[in-house]
Amino acid sequence: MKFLSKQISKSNIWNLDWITIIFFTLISITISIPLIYLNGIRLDEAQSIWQVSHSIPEIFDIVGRDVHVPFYHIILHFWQGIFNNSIISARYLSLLISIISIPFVYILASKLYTKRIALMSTIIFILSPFINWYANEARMYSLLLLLAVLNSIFFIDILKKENTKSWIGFIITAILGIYTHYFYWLFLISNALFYLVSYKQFNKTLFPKFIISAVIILLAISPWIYYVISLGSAANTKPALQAPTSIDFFNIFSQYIFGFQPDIINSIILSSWPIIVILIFTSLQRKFKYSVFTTFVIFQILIPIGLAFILSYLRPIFLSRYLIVSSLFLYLYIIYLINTYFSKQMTILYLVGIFLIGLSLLLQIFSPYTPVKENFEDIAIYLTVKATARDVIVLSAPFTIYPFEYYYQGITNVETFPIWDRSKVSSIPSFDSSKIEEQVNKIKDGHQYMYVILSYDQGYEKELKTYLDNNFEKVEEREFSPDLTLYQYKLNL
Amino acid sequence: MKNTVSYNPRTIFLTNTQSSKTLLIGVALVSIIYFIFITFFITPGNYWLYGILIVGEVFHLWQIISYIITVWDTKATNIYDKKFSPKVDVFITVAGEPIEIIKETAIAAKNMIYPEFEVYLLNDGFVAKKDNWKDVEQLAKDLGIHCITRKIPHGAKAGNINNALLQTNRDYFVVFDADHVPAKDFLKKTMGYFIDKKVGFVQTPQYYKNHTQNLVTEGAWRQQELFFGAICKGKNKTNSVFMCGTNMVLKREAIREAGGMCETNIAEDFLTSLFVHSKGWKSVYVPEVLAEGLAPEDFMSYYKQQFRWARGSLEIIFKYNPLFNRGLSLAQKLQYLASASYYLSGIIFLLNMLLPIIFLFTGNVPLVNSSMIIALVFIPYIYLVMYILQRSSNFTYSFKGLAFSMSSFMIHIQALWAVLSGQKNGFSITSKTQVSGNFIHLNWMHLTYVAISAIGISYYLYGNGITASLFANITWIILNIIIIFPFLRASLPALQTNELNQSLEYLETVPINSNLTIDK
Repeated sequence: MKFLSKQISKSNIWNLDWITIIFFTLISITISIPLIYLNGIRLDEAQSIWQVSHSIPEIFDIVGRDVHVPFYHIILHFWQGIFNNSIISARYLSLLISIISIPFVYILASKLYTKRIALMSTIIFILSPFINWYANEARMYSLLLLLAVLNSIFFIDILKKENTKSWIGFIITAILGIYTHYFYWLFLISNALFYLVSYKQFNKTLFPKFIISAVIILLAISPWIYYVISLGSAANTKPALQAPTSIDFFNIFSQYIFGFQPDIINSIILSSWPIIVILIFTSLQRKFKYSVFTTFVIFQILIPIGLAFILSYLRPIFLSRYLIVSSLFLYLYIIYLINTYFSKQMTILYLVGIFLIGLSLLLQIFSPYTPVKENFEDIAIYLTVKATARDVIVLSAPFTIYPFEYYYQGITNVETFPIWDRSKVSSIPSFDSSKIEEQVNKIKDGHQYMYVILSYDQGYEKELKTYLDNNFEKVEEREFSPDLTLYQYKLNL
Repeated sequence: MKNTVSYNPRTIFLTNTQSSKTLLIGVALVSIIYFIFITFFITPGNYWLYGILIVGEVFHLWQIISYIITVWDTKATNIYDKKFSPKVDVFITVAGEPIEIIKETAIAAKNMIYPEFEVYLLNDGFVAKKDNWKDVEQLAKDLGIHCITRKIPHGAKAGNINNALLQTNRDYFVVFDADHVPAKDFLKKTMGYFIDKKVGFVQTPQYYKNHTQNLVTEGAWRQQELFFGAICKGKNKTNSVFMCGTNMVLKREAIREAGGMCETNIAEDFLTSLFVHSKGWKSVYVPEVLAEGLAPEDFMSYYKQQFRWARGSLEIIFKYNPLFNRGLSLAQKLQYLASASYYLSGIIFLLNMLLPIIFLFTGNVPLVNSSMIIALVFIPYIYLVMYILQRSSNFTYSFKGLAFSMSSFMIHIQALWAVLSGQKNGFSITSKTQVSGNFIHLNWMHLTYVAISAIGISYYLYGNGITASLFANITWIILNIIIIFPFLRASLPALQTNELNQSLEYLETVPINSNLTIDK
């Protein structure tokens, strides 16, 4: 009887975990669905929608030139075909993928550590403002994360007790992952490095099999690499990034835990970095037993971020969303660390953590100062009503025309600065200081008012604005969201 | 939700202490890079504060590098012959300890399994003016062992042993403190090392069997584990183990050559070891608990014990600096200096603690660069240093050990002052029974720190409002308070029992598989 009750008790705990996960998932969905409708389209999303509205060969061409890989775009293309070509339906796809990830996060964490750590980290994952943000964005990041989680599960299975299914799963998810985002390579490199530094602890026969799977993965991506090289040029339709600083480095960790917060809150979070030292000191507990899989978790946090940081000095690529996989492993590591504390301290720390993360999520959702919010919708509606056929709307940087066009229903002529004729060239023309006057004159000719929308400064925003301020009368200035401002100038007819 | 692990507390800290050499090199490199970065690539703010910071960093780098060198190789290669079993005298040093405690040790010593040995109670109760000195003599009679009672005081414990050496004649002698109960096989497992004729003494761990008794005993033991684990095993490799005053076997000839047990230093064992080594004798560390002792049971006793060790060690730096001792090898010089200089860490910690407070009151900082740049190098550095401490201690080194070490800064500073000013401090025996009372007054400096921090935060808020710098400095202050908190708590008797029940819950599940079977 005792044995039976033990079994039932174990089974109950297991079920209780899933009930808890389902409960928090429902909370997450409840929060996410209104956001899908409420948040305006963002630049990247507008590009996704525009890209997948083409045929498959065209998608290959556009995505290839856009320095991306096509797996997500193909899925979204068919998804939009079944439903409709709206941002709402595209966001539902991301949400669906994100929800599918949740049980796999739990499974991965329980394979790495214990069921308790798995439950605790899955709840953090569900409530994470960062994960929530990309669960609602019509981009490939939730898919990237799902494939990384699945691949990690197969990888751990192979290391613990290899079987054919795990190898097949490992190779398939690796191939799909590298066709979802180029940064998936960093994840795979971290896997490989972890294996290389700890191979002595695993079955020696695995090494040649990993070599073979690496060859298969490389062969699988080679057609795409060949195709991209044959295209000859990149589209240059993305914001130019700056080389990262130490602040950017820590910002990534801050974003992973607290999401996207206004500058004042973010600077307080960053200044409190000695908290990490407190955690390091207090996590020195004698029951703490270092597991080899903790090295795996640490590698998955530090190697992708570290490599991206270093590579960014060659070509700036340091964006937290590209490194979304590391966020999950950061949650796992933090939960693992606090599990080394005594029960009482651990519970207090965890509850404080949940409270802060939940609060950050609410702030991110409701604060108008959330830095990543791009209110192209309101600005487009405003100008639909206000601007007339005698006026001209100018967007700078030029690629912001995608989200603006998505919402704009008016009759006013829309231009970009620098002038970009998308029907003729796929790449955005570079800025030339000596041509400001010429290009502005070309745009303004025959118009009464010029509505200039400035966002995503590419290094020439200030120069353009100074020129306009010096030559035209500014009638109105209005900020619609952080870094998205409308200026109205009266033109001399 | 109970976190429990099963382990044998007598063996856990002595096993699996060898760290990967790649890891050790990696930690050394990261530490050096961090030091170079902080020293040469960061813009100094206030030059006084910058100077303080750099002095601290130099000291920390020294500690890390010397620690890495110490634990580089912890695998023993000493020659041992179990058949080698010369005659031995066993000395139990006594100075007024409760008779029950002495009796337990004496019986255990008598029960040791070994061909030929004599047990002596070195009774200093008379010279120490303890009431029970006659009881000790009676105990010796009852047990059929010897008792040597001194009537003329000199040289404290060292003098007591030297006095016994004059009245005995065997080539080897063992020293046990009155509260350190030997295992039956103590002699069998130690004497075999003297087959190597150059071995001058053999030391075994000083295990505290009462380490779960209260916060003080627990804190004291957490510090000991690291020392008697990886550190002593590493020192053994470089022939640099020093005597720890008890649970040790010594060769009479080696001690005679060293001029007897040193009576001029408050930590006689440490200095005697130095003299023995400088005469070319070898030392051996046996990484096995072969005797069980008692940790100081109250905060006052702990305080006195730490002061004695700190003062004795610091005296070595200032009066017998190993660097200038020609008889020592380079490795031995480094090891003695590393151990002695540990007690300088108190003043470094205090200075570092003051930096955020100075900022709150004056706005002065040691470094003016973005604190995120500093974080970028500091976090991996401190993480790796902490990891190597855990790894080399087989994951026994805990925050409590660290907190007790760092929070002892006032003891270290007082000891430093005593050495520099030439104050005379008598040898005091660590109390074997708990002294009740509130010892929070001993931590007046810690309490002052908390109070000044609170005032400083209010002062800064009044003048500057909420800024990012305020948060950074508050976080440092919180870290410092978290570090001193266990020490403060241990000095409050009212909290001891309740808190301990919680903090030690995992230890209750530990199976005690002691190899000590003592006949009574």
